[in-house]
Amino acid sequence: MKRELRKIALAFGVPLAAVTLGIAAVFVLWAPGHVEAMSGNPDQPVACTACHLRGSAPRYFARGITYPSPAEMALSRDGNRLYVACEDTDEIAIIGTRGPALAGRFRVGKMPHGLAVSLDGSRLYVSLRGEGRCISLDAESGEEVASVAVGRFPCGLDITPNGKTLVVANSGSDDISIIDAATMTERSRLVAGREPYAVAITEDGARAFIANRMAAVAEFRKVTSAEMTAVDLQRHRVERRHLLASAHLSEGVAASGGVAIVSLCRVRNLLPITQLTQGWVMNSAVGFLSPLDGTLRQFPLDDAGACYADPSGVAIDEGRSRAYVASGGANSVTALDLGRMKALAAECEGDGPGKWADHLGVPSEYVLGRIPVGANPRSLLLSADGSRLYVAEHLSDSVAIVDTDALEVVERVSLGGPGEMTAERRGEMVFHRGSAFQGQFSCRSCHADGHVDGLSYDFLIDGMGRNIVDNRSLLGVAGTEPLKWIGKNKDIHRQCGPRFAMVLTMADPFLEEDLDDLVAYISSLPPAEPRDAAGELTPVQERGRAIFERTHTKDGEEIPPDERCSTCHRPPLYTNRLLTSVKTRMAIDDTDDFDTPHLAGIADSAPYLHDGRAKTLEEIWTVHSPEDTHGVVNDLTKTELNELIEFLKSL
Amino acid sequence: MRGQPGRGRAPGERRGHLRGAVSIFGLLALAALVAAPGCGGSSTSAAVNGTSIVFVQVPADGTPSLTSRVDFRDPYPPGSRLAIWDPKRPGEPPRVLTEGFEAAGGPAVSHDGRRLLFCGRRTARDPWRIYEVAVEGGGPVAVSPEGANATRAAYLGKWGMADTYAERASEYVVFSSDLERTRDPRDGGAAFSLYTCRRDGSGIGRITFNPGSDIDPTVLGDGRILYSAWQPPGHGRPRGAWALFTVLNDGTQIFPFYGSHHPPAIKWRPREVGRRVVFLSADASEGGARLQAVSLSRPLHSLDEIGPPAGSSWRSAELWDRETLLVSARPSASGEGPRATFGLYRVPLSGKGEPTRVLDDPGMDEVDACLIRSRPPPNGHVSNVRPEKGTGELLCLDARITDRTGSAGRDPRTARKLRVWQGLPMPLDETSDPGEGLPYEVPSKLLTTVELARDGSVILEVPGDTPLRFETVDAEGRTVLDSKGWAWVRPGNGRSCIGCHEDREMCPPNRVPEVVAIGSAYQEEQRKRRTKPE
Repeated sequence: MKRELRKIALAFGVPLAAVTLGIAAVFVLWAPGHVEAMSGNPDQPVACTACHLRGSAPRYFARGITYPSPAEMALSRDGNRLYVACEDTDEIAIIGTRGPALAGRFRVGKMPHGLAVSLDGSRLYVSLRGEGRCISLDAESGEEVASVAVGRFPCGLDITPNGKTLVVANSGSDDISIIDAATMTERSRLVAGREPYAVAITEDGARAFIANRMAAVAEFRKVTSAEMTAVDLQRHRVERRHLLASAHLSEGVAASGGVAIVSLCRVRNLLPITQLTQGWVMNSAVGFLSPLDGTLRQFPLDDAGACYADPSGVAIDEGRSRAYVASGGANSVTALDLGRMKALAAECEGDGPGKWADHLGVPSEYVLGRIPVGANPRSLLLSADGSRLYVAEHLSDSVAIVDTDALEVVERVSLGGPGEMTAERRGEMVFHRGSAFQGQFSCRSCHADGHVDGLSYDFLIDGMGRNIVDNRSLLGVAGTEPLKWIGKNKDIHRQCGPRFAMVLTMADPFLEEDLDDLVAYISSLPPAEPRDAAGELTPVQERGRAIFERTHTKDGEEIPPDERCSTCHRPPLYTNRLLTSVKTRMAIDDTDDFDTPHLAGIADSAPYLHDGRAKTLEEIWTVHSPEDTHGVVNDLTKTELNELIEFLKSL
Repeated sequence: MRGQPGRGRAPGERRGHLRGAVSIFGLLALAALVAAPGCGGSSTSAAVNGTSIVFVQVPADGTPSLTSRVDFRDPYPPGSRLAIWDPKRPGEPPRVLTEGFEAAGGPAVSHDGRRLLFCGRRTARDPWRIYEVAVEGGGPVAVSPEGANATRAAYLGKWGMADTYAERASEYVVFSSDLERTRDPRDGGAAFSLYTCRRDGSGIGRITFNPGSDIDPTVLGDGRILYSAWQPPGHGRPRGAWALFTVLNDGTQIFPFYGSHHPPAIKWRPREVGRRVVFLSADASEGGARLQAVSLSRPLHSLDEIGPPAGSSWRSAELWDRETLLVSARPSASGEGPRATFGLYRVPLSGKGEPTRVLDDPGMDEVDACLIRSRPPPNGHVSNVRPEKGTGELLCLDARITDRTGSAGRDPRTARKLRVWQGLPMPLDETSDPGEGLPYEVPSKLLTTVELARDGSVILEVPGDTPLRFETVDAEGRTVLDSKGWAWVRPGNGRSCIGCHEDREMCPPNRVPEVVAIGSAYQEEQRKRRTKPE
């Protein structure tokens, strides 16, 4: 018996010992060199699983099941049909308003967003966010009649009252297309603010107002401003760029009776996040373009003790001197007294947001009511007589009809849908829910469409004014773990768990099942589409790629592995997912080493570096790495640096 | 919503060369999954949504003390007991829950509607303690510690620390108690503070550090604790005042809610009713109370009088339904059916209209009633309080901003320095003697004097859990503004304010305060502190 046991021990034990010794040798002798070769850092405290196990996890960006997710709406000229752009199912839903009920659907191109109806009602104009086109459809058959290429990611669309001109906000290329509706040709392309998102044309057709969702990039630790662009439609010129100081997420606009109202989120990202009350981090608001002096004043939507996160669509009823604003994070529509707002605006002096912008008591002066609606209301549309307000409930996949006398929902029309709620869709709801302590904000408030808000924040957890961090995109984030600039969170689950509640929402953490859904949603967000990549790289981008991948300087000197672009920003994720020092530590930082960010969609995620101090990609090297501490570029000409940047924009 | 138009990739599109490794690790992961302990969900019992009422029965001869305003030390007379009664079964007598107690009262219903907190004492010699009892009956279990008085309590949402929240966060309760044994500057008696603990009494911690008393906690839907705090004399309150404050369940984010500078002088027993808060108020510590209401959204500018009608007395009010309050009232002796005792009545939320009698036993006072029903739990809180740190940070964006006029007519904008005074509460023992009349001023010592930055900002590291008050002074050292009320910071936490007693409805300006900007002395000190020695 003993002999047999010995045999077995020898048969298995010797090979096992050999394998163990082999593994140990690999770890002791080979692994450090491997880590150094791959990361450029000989002292990287990293486990094999940091790259190999987690990095090989499936990245399932494509979601099989889609939902209508209504975006903008338009009424037929007789008011009997309501057209609804269903952004995720690539359809236009038709609701018969007498009834009301779903009456049909048109299949269109990718991601219909903006809608308008021709003067004679025979044509329907649609912006296709996913295709960079604006199309006209036969309003009866849904047949595509004409198409015009516009800018990148066209969103909001409006038509002049004479039916001759369309204005489209191209959110991805930061410009505005002015289109001849009859010929469907683009007449002008004007530069907008950052991420133009919604359009409203005045009743006389003379002017268009464009809400720009993101704030412009500002100097480090300075106030950012979003822009409401006013366009002269006779001259096809930008007439004025109204600045909305400390504002972002400005994604709804309406104009009527000499008044324009734009929704916005008023942020206070320069303060340490010590509390949420008193609008300490942000409050929801509207910009009110006063007809008296043409100045864009700001008025809060939030009360001192109740908040209405993520203001979105706006509608104005001039006849009743009212405006309505949808709050996507609060599932609510607020009715505003325009007369009272005009009077309060008249009390403001000078330029700027005005004396009421930071007063959470003043909404009691002009808020007529708060109307509970379905999940994530986005765009609003009034009937011609103002008696009905249509509310696109983006995540309920429905349109609510509000009686504007009673200020309550009287009907709701479902846009259909798969009849099955996936984890990703549930997570999308969690993401859009105003989950902060008093509903001050949702995840979306800082990550609209999962992307960035272009702002840097001062979290209290590590001291006031310390460790300022730039907001990072969630698009394509799955697989790029660890997360946070200091790489502290090993996965999305931890990132969004109780610590997130502690430092930011100051309320309950997400329930475990909600957190699982939220992680599924965030993991499903695909990488941002590159700004300048039309399939093949251009010759300029190819030259930039060669610079990115080079191992030697122009003089033939070898660039050490840890100083090559492609060492840390290693394809395919363009990150080695390790901590690296590029000598950007300031006196307010507690560490030299920061997580290497992935580069997908980097063209749209300015500012750059861990604290957002670099306003442009170019500044990363020309201002913040003069000694070649962030890769080697000092041997490049200005043209070559531009080529490198053009390549980065293709990622 | 698909986010930005993106580049959807199918699973497995990336890193095909790693598939072999994936499969190995996949097997390992599967094995780990199989070996992992199960995570079966706990069974959720059905909520109680009844119409039963819990209330306090007080022998009618105890009535006089029921009109006392500040009854937190000895809140119910002997013989008081907790009882449940279903108005839908009027023929059935109330069921007593506190047999064996010399006195009991102060019920609070759990969010699932299945349990009750109450205060009681077994014998006249015992201190008042907080107990929990099942609505269905059974033996009450003590929650607050032995040896200290604890009177008013309420159920909180979940509370825990971030790193252990998933496993260890639990439902807490808040109560007011004299556990610390310090002297109340209002009347020289024991000062009551707010404490929290788990339902089993573990994890007890003090969350308010006012040298005066903090009483009557209730919990708002957003998770804030709303309570009544005694504020010392000064600034429109010559004899001091009871005002309403809010605080989170870890003692952070304390804010005045209503009444620090608003008459009448006494406000207590606040309750959330819809989008409003109702509370009792009075000018003097004895006599009739009024029921007033303020909106949650604008508490400082929405005062509304609800009742009672002339000649009658109200003692408590709770929400019955969207339009009705359940009050304990002693109706007017005039008119038909005079009653000398408190009974339970439904009154319109507006206070207008005739009360409807629910229950009124002429031999008993029925007071402090509330409906037993489930309701959504309030927001919880993940705490960042770190007792081991000992200190906290205070940031004022501009100490020259105020809604007050300066002392001796000085312009608040002439302030150049901030003095911080530390309160030294007196211990409650037989030898300690305030040595002055009542209310007396809490002894204090100057903790520090700091210069304001050019933008008026100031940052301080201060001892945690310590009563502090502030005074701005001009270049000559003369007082510009001084606070009379006390504030504190929890250790490891940071507190900010816009100014020194600014308009509470104002938002802060979006700018980097000079004191914490890059290059400031504060940041230099932090840098030195955080740089590891070579």
